Amino acid sequence: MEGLRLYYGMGRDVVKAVDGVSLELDRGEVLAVVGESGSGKSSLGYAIMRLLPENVVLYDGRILLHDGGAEFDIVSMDEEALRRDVRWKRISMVFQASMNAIDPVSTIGDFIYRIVREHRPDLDKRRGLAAAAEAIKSVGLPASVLDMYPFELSGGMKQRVMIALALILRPSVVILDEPTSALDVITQANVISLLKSLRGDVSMILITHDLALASEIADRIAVMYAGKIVEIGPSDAVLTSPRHPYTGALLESTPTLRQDRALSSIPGRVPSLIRPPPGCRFHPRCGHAMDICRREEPPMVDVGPGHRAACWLLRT
Amino acid sequence: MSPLRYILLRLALALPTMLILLTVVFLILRVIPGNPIEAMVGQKAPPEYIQQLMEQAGLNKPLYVQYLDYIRGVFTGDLGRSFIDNRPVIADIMDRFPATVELAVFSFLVSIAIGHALAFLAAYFRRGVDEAVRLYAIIAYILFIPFFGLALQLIFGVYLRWLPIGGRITPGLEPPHITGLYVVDAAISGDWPALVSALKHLALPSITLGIVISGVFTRFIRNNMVKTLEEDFITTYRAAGLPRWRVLMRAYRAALVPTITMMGLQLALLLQGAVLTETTFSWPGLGTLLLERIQYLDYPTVQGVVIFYVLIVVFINIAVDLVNLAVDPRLRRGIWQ
Repeated sequence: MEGLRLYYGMGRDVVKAVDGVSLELDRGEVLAVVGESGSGKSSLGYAIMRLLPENVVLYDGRILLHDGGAEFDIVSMDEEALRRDVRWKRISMVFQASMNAIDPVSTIGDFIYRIVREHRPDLDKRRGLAAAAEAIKSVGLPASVLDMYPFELSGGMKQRVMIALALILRPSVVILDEPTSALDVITQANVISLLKSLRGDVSMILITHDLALASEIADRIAVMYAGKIVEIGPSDAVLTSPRHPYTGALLESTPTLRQDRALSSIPGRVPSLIRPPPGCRFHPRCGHAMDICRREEPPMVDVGPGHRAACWLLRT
Repeated sequence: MSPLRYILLRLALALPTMLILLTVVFLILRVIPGNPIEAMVGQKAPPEYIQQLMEQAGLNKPLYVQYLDYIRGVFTGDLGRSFIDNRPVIADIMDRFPATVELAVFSFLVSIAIGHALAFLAAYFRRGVDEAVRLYAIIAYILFIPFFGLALQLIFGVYLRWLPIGGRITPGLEPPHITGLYVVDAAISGDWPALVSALKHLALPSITLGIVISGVFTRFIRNNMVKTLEEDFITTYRAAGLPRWRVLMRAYRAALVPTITMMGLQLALLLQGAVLTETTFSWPGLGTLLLERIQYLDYPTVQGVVIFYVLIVVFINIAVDLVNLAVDPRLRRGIWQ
């Protein structure tokens, strides 16, 4: 993914939700995108699926997907080809609002089969439902769920159904947008262990504000701030030796059970995506801000193997 | 609760409504100035003769006795006899009812066809088309049936001479009486000239009424679909690569319960519009019967037709509930268990 931008209009303003994001994802890798609410991380997920809001004003850059010996540029490819060859077949998504992501007037089985049939017209209803049953069992639910309606399922069960649905066509990439945030703690633990068990089979982009979840599942972590990636690297490196002041502040504001230390919060608030601060977007909240930070945007600097950060401190 | 018990309960709940309406109609008719017997035989008839007829019709009894007699009659299935033709009111209603059913059904078909087509176009194309469809819906809704009907009569009946401007069928072509619905009877008995004539006569009235009702349908279905299209499960379908028209179908399906409910409620409006349409096109249905008999203050017939209308609305509402139960799993699992 190179220089991906997604702007949308809000009244007369332009919201720069994703503003020049470049990153790469290896086969079978789990990349966590972490950030505060309003950092543009969910918009990044939708931008990768090319699920654009109606008020989109700018969508450009490149998202190259190499899969099955072919290359697809999601940003520029034909809409019909995207629908037929890429969506769900190669990239699927588990949405943040999984609670309402299932058709309310359809049984789970019909819902899954309706989507499977779109990409596998060779499957008749019986075989399609058999595939659905298998997928449902693989996420630890009984096959009887297929005959139930979404209003008869708990939040955790619906989340599992959505994960099963996301995986059923064996895509190469799955985007998980806050897969655990609406669940109670026990259910969260179940879903986390389910996600862990899937590691290696598919590439995952895990969008979350939960650093603990990211550290538990992800191979690499990308930290997003105001529509941009400010630091990216192997999970251990990012979590143990963060190089961007924002990552450091984010870690210090995360409570842990094991260590007894004072929590600090990041002063100020997430900047407006309509008029982001000039220079480094974090400078108004940064304790180390220098003159240059207010004027010029910092470039990405290599700070370790596969570990990069965008901060002027690293250049001096 | 079993479906049968549910229906019986709904009928029982409709009784108070019917009683109130009956009473109101009974009182209004008697408040209207004029004497039905005089209206019928003329003011120059000898007073003794008028007195004798009033006695026959029970009109000289105290009002509360007339009222109680009437209520008793209604609940034993006797709507009384018409002052005008001295036939049982039920017989007059049954003669005219098939014509109204025929008109209502065809108008309803016209309006749901237009409503669905336009709502889907609006939801599919949005910009431009959507505005045009919404404008259509408003214009259709404010059309005044007698004027609109007259315009269609002038264009298609008088000027182009394509279609007849009144009546149910060319006199002499009536099909054998089976159901009373000319279209059905003609089709069953294979009477093609009658079928063609009946359909031609139906065209203008049902298009008139159908277009007027379609305004509400169009707007309602369009709004429901556009609202449903913003829901999360629609995003799932889009992300999963369903074609746009199939996503629309799912949005329509999810919004089906309010749509059916609204269509049921509109049937009452349809009956009301049918009165105006029938008079505009000299359609021999319940609406024209009502209008003819009001002029003569024919109390039993007017009361009988009103009760009949109420019964139809009650049955439509029950039917709407049953259809919704069949359509929406959330309702079904809630009530039958």
